[in-house]
Amino acid sequence: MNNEQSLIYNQLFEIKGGNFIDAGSASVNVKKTLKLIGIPSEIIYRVSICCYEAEMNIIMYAYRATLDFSITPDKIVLKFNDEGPGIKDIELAMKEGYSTATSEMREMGFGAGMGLPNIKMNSDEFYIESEENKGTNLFIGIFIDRKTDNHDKSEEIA
Amino acid sequence: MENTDKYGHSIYFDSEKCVGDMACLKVCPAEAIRIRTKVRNKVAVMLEDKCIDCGECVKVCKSEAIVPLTNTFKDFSKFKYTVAIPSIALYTQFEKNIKPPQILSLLRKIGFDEVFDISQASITVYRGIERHIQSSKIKPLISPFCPTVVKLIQTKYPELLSHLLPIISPLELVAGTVKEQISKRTGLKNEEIGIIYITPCPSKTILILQKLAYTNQGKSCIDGAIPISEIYPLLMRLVNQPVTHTAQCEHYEINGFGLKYGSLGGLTSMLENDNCIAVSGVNNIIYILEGIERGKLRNVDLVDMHACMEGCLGGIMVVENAYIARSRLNSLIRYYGDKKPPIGKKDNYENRNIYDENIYKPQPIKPIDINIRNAIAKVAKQKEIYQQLPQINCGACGCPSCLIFAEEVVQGILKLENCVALEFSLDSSPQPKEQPPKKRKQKKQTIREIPR
Ligand code: SF4
Repeated sequence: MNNEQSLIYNQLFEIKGGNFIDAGSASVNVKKTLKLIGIPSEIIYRVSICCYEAEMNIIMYAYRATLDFSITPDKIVLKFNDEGPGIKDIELAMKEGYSTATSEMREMGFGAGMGLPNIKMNSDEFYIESEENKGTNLFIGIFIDRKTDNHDKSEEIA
Repeated sequence: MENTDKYGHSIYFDSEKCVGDMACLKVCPAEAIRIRTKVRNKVAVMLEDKCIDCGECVKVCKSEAIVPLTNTFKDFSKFKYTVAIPSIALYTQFEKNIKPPQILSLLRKIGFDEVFDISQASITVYRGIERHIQSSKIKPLISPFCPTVVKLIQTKYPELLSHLLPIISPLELVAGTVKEQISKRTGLKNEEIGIIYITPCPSKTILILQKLAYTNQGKSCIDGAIPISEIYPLLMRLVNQPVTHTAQCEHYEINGFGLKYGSLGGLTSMLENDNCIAVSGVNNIIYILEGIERGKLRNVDLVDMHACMEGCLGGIMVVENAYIARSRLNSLIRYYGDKKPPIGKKDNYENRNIYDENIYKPQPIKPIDINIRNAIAKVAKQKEIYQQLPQINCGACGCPSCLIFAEEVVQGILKLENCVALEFSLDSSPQPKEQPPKKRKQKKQTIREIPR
């Protein structure tokens, strides 16, 4: 059972573009699961910002998308695949945010409302690929600090 | 007051009185209640790490089995000198012709050595808040005056603790000030002076039980709390003999503008700032906190949050209904004048430090397992079990939802056969009742066929 490979929790969500009423429901679900697992709150905070920003981007621009959310003992991964207009110039989209996000905003952990740079800032791994008029794929990875894992202690209690 | 658990809750579940009718199970916004079988009976129990002391369960319990922990008069005999500080809500419990000074005088009649009003202090506090909003980089700030709100943030939104205003409540300001003054004047030690809050809700008891660092002295200056509902009959008896007592009415300076603090939205209206909002009700608060967490409400300066729907006037230990109370408070505010007092005016609290730095610590809910590997495995298992359940959240298993039932099964607290909705269908299948749990899955197949 302690095979690292088998220790994956996985959940799929569907997100509809333009559905502002339900906006953020995937992030809420993701956060609930992370809390139950006992992931440190700073990490949950970063995950929920990434997740929410990405979800909002989809709701605002894309038609539909899936979120593939998985957890292993080391890492939390969010994979967003959307069908939508795509991003013309990814580099520019990333840059724009950098120039608008003030230090104050960063201090608070929020971006400039420009999702992508904010996601990049809050994640440990960030990959994006996009094709115009087709869609965007986003990979977000956030590491779980193993120092917070009370492995030895738990053996005794369990 | 019994100091029960290490979380210092202000609510106690009496399993002797509980009839297990499950009224509380569904209303608890923190999903902190379970109905468990004890010996032969089913009784409600509270999970201490989850409860936020909102009092919703107290309201719905018909068998008086959920008891708010407060003091009674007997508890105060240990003090040499007792001081009462009533919540503004107390003023609204009486007819309009009975004014706050008379109520304060009557409190002395029933045995308190001294009585203080908080309307003056609430102005000092409001000014501090106004100043703080201007200098603060954190937006929105959250008011920390409702202990349930603080508790909710500590347990579920620890990332937002930095948003709490680092300012003490008017109550603490008065308590700290008068304790110091009295001890100087009478030579009594701090422990000999009992500062008693006359409270509209039990959650203020947390201040005392937890000895939370709510003030700059590192702990609360309040030594006890007695419900308005307990004081009310005593005062009523005296009110009914008006001649003797109104005559002896002492002088108390009540500030109309400061009285605003007592109602929901009062603080925001004092601030005269359109970027402040007032929110009440635990579920609404959760909605707003979720928003703040995602970076919404960045343009809001302050969110004044109260767990009870009508703020402190709607506390569970008041006598008068909250709507009447609010109209009475409004008429009191008009009576005393709702003009903002000029800044230069000297008051009792001018030179007091009202700042309170870094005081609230996270109290996260216990995770499903402290080992992250086990936790992941357990959550996966939980989802798997959940898929097998009817997902109707009937509550008959004693859990507020099927998802939580699945969690309890994973934890070994409950067994799959505790689900009556599953059981019900199983009974109608020909198999005998006592079946080893292994065969459940197969039997579920037969269940699905029945509706045809
Ligand atoms: S006081 Fe509130 S949070 Fe605590 S058990 Fe009762 S309903 Fe739940």
